[in-house]
Amino acid sequence: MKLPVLTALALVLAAPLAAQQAAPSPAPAPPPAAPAADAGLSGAVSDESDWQDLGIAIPAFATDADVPTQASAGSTAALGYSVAAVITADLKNNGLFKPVGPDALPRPAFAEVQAPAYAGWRSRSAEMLVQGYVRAGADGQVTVGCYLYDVALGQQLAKAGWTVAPGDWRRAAHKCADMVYSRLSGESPFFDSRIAYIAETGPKDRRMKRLAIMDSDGANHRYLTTGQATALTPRYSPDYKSILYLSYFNGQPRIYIYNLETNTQRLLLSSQNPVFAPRWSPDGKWVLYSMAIAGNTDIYKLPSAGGASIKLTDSPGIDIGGSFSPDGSRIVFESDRSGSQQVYVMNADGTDQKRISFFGGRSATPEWSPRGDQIAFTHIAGNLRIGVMSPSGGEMRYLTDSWQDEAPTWAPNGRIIQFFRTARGSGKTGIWQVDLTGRNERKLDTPVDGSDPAWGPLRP
Amino acid sequence: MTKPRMRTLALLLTGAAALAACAPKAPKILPPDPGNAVSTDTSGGGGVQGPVPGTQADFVAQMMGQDTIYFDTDKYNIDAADQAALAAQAQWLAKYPGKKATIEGHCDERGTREYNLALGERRANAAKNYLVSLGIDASRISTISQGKEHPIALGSDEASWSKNRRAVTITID
Amino acid sequence: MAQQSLRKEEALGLAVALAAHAGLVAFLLLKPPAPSAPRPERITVTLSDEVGLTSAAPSPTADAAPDSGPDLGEPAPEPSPAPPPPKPEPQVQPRPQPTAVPAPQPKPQPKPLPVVPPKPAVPVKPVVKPAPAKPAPARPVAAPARPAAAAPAAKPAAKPGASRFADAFNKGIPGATGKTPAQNPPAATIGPAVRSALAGAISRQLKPKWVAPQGMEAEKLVTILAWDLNPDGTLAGSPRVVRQDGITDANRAQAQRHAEQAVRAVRLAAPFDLPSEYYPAWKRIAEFRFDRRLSQ
Repeated sequence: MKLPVLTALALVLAAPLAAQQAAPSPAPAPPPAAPAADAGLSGAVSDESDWQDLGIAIPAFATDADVPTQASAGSTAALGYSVAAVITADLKNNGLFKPVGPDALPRPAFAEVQAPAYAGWRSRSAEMLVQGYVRAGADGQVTVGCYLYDVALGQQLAKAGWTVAPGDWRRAAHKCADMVYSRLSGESPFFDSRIAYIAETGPKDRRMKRLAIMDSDGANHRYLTTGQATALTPRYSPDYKSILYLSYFNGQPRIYIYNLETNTQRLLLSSQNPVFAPRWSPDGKWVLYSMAIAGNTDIYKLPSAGGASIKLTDSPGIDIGGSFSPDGSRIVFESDRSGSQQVYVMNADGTDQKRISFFGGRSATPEWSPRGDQIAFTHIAGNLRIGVMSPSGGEMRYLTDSWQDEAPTWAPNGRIIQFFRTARGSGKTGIWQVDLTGRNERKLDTPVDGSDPAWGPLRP
Repeated sequence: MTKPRMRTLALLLTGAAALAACAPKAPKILPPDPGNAVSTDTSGGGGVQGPVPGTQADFVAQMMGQDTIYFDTDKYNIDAADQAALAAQAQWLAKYPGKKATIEGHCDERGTREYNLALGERRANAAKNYLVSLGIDASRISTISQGKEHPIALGSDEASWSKNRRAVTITID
Repeated sequence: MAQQSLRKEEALGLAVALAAHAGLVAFLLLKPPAPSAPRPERITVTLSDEVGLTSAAPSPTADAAPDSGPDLGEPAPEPSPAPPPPKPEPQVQPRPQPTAVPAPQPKPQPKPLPVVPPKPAVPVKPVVKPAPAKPAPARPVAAPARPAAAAPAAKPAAKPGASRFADAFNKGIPGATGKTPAQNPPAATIGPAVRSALAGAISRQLKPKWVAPQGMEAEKLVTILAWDLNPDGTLAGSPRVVRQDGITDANRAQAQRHAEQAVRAVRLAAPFDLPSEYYPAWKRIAEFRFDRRLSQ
């Protein structure tokens, strides 16, 4: 009833009342009011505004001496600018931060890197500040130092440095972005990682599908196959040394291992039967694949070092895919043994298979989060949407709502999911990503259309 | 040798009857769709100057659309229309016992990629098994799944999808 | 007739007089109760659980307090005449006594300078704990004696850990420390209305400084802080985490960050602009809830 009364007024009015009231307090005579005072005040603060993105200023990194480097970005000074630009782009792309990059900011002097001019940054209303430097070493290496400051508090929050080959300067920038991201979000880092995917071009009925790889920010893009044979469903090995993928090379769908160190490839296994849906175990020691025999598809496990396959499923329906839990003890997979695609979990040896998806519609392409706490999947009920559920099949939530989103893959930190979205009609595809809140969704820039993203682990 | 042939002939007769009764179910909207061109060889004009007998072009011409069978969403069963088409295919294959064929299994775009690879394989196998049941030697027929990667109808609507859920028999020249 | 009419007038006058008196009497009768039935908790929008026994006494031990206190967020309605403190127990605790004139012992932790100086060839582990540095003068207003006084107060020798909430609750209101800074008004007994208003004022000053971390289920996180204030509104010592609520598997990674941001808000909001006559009421903030969902 009196809600709108000004607080100041309330204070004035309340004073005498309070005095009277406390009077009869049976407190001992000497300190009559002390108890009340000493009880301490309590209260609460809330925030009804929208989620605020943290403002971060990222000026060009300084250098002690502008020296030419072997890096594509040029001299150390040019590199300092590019590093800041990469960090800015990284942090901008996940919806938690509102970074301002080197274009709009003055470049701090080398000496300022470790002693920021807080007052100046405050006047720019930056809440956080990322500063750093680039130095050329005698050995041709480049050292990048990275510092995170809380401008408002005037305090350093984190710092780190990396010495990299000039060609890897972007990795140092990603590492810096990772440091900032994890310090300010509480989550594990993920920017310094790579993505394998299928690059698509051409009309809907004759799409050319090529194996391609890129950094998590789309840089260092490279096509690995020519497109003469359709390539699908790649998976990076945990050590980034090879990629498993499906190719119609020689006309039949088979799984190949592409060796990234030698740029050679070989068949995973020779079989008369079609083989698809390759997967790595988290330790890289096992490969899962699905093979159709007389139309009946089952899941098999094969030591990546070579050896005999072990058949894990044996149902009359289609059992396909599979994704290991982070500890390697269990596998979540897809089966239509119930009459429609549903998600099942089994032990890594194939025992104890049980269905976990009971949401209506069809549930497909389950992928276990690297954190172990969630399973991402494609839910089909009319449209195809990306959802997550707990490993027991509970707490199902949609993360996307579009016409056709499928094939989720997890960021190394288990907080972001990439998938591919197909446009109705044109059939054009694109790689998208969304965070676990579902609030931050964006499309990745790829040179051409993209599908089947497969996120690799964080690089060491 | 003779036994299968007898059986084939019998089936062909019933097949022909069925054929008269049932039109293939999927291409309900045949005329306006340009997609049909893929499996219809232009040389199959149907005049006196037909394609060389026993070739793929001849097969396409003879089948008059029955080189392809269609499936319901997520299904791979062979229904009456499919049986008629496969019977026609079997007749042709029986006529040219030296010919081999590949059956391509396809799916519509409204499914996940990997599952569709498996589903296409299952559809191709369903067609193959039926041909085998009609007496065609299994070794003459191979299968390949194209999943949803090669639609023939390009729309994103039920009419297109029903044309894309298919198994196409292609003889090898 | 005249008489009668006169009487009528008289009667009328009498009636008026009576009515007026009755009104006066009624007014007089009704007025007194007013002061005895104040329900001022409603004045501010801020939720307050003042009034009751809920409080926390800083205990130099425990870093994180057991969370077995009473539920917050229920504004106890009746300001029952000052609940008798169960045990006035002097409670001698090594509490950082914010004397008005703290020796300016700037211990603002010399900037962790170049541990990575020119050549951080090896990845340096990011600092995880934010070293409490001096509160930034982000708030140029009302800062009498602040710049000098603020920093020094920090880091009392025996760093007061977070208060042990349950403990304090069970003991009821701890006794007075009996050592209010001389300059303060002789502890006017300060009632719930004032306390509620003070809480509201603090809340408003914190709000612009508080940015809660985002993330899956991060909105469920609640951090409850305690801190002490000097008479000039500056922080006496560091804010302490009393406890956190709403931690789930999904938001666990943000919990520490949530607490850090709450502490940051307090540091940035200081010096607090609060009426000095009520200093005894706000010198100790026993439990302040940082809760995004409160508003939803």
